[in-house]
Amino acid sequence: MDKEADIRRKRQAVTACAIYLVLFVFCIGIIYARGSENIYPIYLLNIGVDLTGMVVCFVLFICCFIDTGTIGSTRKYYKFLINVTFLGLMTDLVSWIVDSVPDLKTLNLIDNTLYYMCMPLGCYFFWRYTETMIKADNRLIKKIDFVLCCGMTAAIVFRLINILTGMYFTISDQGVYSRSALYPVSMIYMFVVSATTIFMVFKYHKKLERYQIMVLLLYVIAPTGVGIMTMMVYGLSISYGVISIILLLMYCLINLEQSRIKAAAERDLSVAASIQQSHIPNIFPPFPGRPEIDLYAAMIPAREVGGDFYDYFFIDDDHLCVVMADVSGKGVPAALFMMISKTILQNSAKLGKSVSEVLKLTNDSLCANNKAEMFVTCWFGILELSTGRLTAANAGHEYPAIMRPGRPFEIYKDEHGFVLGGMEGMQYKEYEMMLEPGTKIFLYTDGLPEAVDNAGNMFGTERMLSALNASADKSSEKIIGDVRAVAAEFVKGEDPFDDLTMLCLHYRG
Amino acid sequence: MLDIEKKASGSKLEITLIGRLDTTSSPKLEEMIKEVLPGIELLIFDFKDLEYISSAGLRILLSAQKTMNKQGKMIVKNVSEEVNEIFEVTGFSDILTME
Repeated sequence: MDKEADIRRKRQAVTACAIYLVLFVFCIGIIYARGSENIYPIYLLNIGVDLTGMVVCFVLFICCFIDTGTIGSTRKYYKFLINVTFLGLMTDLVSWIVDSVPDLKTLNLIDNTLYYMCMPLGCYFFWRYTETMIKADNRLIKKIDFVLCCGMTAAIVFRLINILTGMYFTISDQGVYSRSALYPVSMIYMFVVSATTIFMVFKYHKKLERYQIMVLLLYVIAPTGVGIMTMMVYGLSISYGVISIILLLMYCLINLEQSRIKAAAERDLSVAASIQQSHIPNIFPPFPGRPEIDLYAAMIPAREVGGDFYDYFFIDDDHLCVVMADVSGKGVPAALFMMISKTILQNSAKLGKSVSEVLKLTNDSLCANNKAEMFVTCWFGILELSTGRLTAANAGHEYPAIMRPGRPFEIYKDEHGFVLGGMEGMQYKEYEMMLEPGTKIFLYTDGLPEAVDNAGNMFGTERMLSALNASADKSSEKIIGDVRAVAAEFVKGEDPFDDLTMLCLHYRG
Repeated sequence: MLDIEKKASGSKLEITLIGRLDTTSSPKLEEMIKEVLPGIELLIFDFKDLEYISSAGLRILLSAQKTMNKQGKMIVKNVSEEVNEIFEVTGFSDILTME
């Protein structure tokens, strides 16, 4: 799914690039065609500012595609803002070039109308952008939404009417643009939106970070200030240039802040990962004083933390408990549930009860407060080292693979009970088997057979068994290393989709 | 990818799943079920076009089954061999009513 979104994003970015470049070529083309003769120096200044602003918008727009840190609706309205600003800059640029060129007066009229439309559009998107930052969902906000949306529509309609009536501006037959008496009326919408936004920013200042308040206020104050200053000065038009610089500043501030938050979250996660890893026994060989067994295990989470776990511990001198488990889901929720499950299971096992009783006890404890409705599949066995008697039960976990002396590794289809933590009062059937010296048991989670290559094929139990059998006479550590290598070779560069955990127990007798 | 089709008539609801129900697609189903389940007395899942179900998907089934235990009945039908094997291994075949 992520990949599809990625491809879609790339396609959008390429399309956007192409459109922007065509517009750039158009602008530069008409500048070149017009030449710099008979043009006021102040127009050249405007054109320079506009071109610079356009480049800034273009770069920012591309950044929004590359950068996945600023996700969600905030980015959507930010992109709208960039595009409106770009359009504002471009139409501004064109208007200076075509000014006083009688042949281009139609283009002049269209261009100026578009230019006038950018303002209400930009204001409205800015309000929506602010709204996504405030994150309040109430009747007042909905009312403002409605009023401002109507206002925007009205402003656009008035600008269209202006083509006929010339209430805001006119283009003379000589192609000269001039503001009409009602020009200040066209600014009303902007002042209304600015005032509303400032009011709402102050009203909800507790919900906003300081940098957000700064950015929002700056966005309102700077261009409004410039707008007021240049309202009476015909000839200087730098409002959109100022806006493009502020958009750049917004991008920097917001990104800076978000990467700071992200870095903190990443640090927390890496600490969580080390807590989890250290909670799982990982010193090998685990029992140097017990020549009867050769045990090795590995847990490879798909993300920083995982929901798989294995465990092994002695409950008395002769009885070794072995656990292989897989919590539903992934990431932090699974990791939290995994820590609880592991602790409860080990504590229950140390009471010295039978395998089925241990699972029943664990299940009931896990169900008691399981609001998230997570569950864990689990294979649990107790091996009596002196005799080789293995008592085990399977709570919804993968079948173990067992290699008896003189035979290859085979899937052992043991009887399955329901997963742990799913439903209270479940019973678990245990089974017994005598392990001859030389028997090996391989336990794993579904991350191994369900590992997927880039064509979507699953690794499967057949490949798993043949990998096991290729290394069957090696040490437990070697077997796990080899199976892992074969699985990695199978999936090639594909990201691991699920946690992968394996345990191999060789009973020497 | 997962497509969800639902057919409701009175207190009966039939949900057909097409594709793979895994970590990425299950939130969509979970949200939908949460929305439509109140007042439903018979919930039917049609799995004839369901290719795969992961533990995240099983969790949703379990949660739906628990809700339906309180307010009516839940039936799972047309389960494919692959999905049935997952139900067998995880013990879900013990708690689900399959047709």
